[in-house]
Amino acid sequence: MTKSLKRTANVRGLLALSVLLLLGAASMRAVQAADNATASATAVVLQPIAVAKSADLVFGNVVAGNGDVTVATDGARTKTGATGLPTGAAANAARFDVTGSGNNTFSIDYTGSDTVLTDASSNTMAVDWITEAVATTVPTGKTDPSTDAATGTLSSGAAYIFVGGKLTVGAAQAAGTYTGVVKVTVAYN
Amino acid sequence: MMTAPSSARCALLAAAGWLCAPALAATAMAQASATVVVPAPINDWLGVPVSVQDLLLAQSAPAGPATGNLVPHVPGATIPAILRLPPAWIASAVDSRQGFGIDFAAGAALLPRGPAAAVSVAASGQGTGTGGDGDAPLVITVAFN
Repeated sequence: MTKSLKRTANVRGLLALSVLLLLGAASMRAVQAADNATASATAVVLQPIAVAKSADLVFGNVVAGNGDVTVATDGARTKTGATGLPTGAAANAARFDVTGSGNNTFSIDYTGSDTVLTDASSNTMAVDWITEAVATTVPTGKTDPSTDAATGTLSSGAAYIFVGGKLTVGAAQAAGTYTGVVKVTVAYN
Repeated sequence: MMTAPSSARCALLAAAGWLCAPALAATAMAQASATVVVPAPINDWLGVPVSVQDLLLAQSAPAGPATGNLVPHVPGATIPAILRLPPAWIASAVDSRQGFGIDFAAGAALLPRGPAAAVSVAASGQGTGTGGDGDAPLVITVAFN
């Protein structure tokens, strides 16, 4: 009888211990079920980028003759070969004004620009654009058409793209007024 | 020029059920132009002294009483005959004339050939007659403007 009582007491003790362990585990599980952390969310709202033409590219009067006529990004005009440069019409580089936010950088694309100037009779002259992107209204006078300005940087929300060109004049280039289009597309980087 | 839609425009588009996304890129175009001048015969004379007679003949103008490239000096204020009735395109280039010899100031005239090819008459030769008298070659330097 005494043994039986002791066994019963032991079983009860074990049960009590088990209950306590279970309660303890449940309690711990309840504590770990909730946790949190924070992350910051930021967004920078940019003024939409825009570009506007403020000047056209003018090669001026060119005398027919085998050679090249170059208008630098600052409007300076030079020639090579047998062509001539009458001074009757002033040369001028094209200018595009870019506006946007702060000092962000942007890409420049010239897709859609003509590769020739064409007159009313479909005569053509090859043209190679000379491009430069600067933060001020003063271009450097770039004359090299081999590399285009592919990026630009806004300065307090403004930048400028200047476009000159190298024109190939033929020995028997037909008289007339030749025109073409240079197209500039800008986008935030 | 293509720019991003304004917020007011976006509001209108939204009210009409259109989506209005801000422009990520913008495009603009400029025109490039060049005027080709065909030099015609006068191109051969660029920087080279030529006579009024040559100019007149080259332009198929009536030569009148031309005397070739020698213009007789006439004492007094008499203007050499060749210049009495010059065609308008060269007359407009003549700013002043003097009795002895010919003194053309720099001027400009439009040639009838080519698209508005401006030509300047830079200077004339000086009379070389003895004692301020005699025949003098009249030369005009032609250059495109």
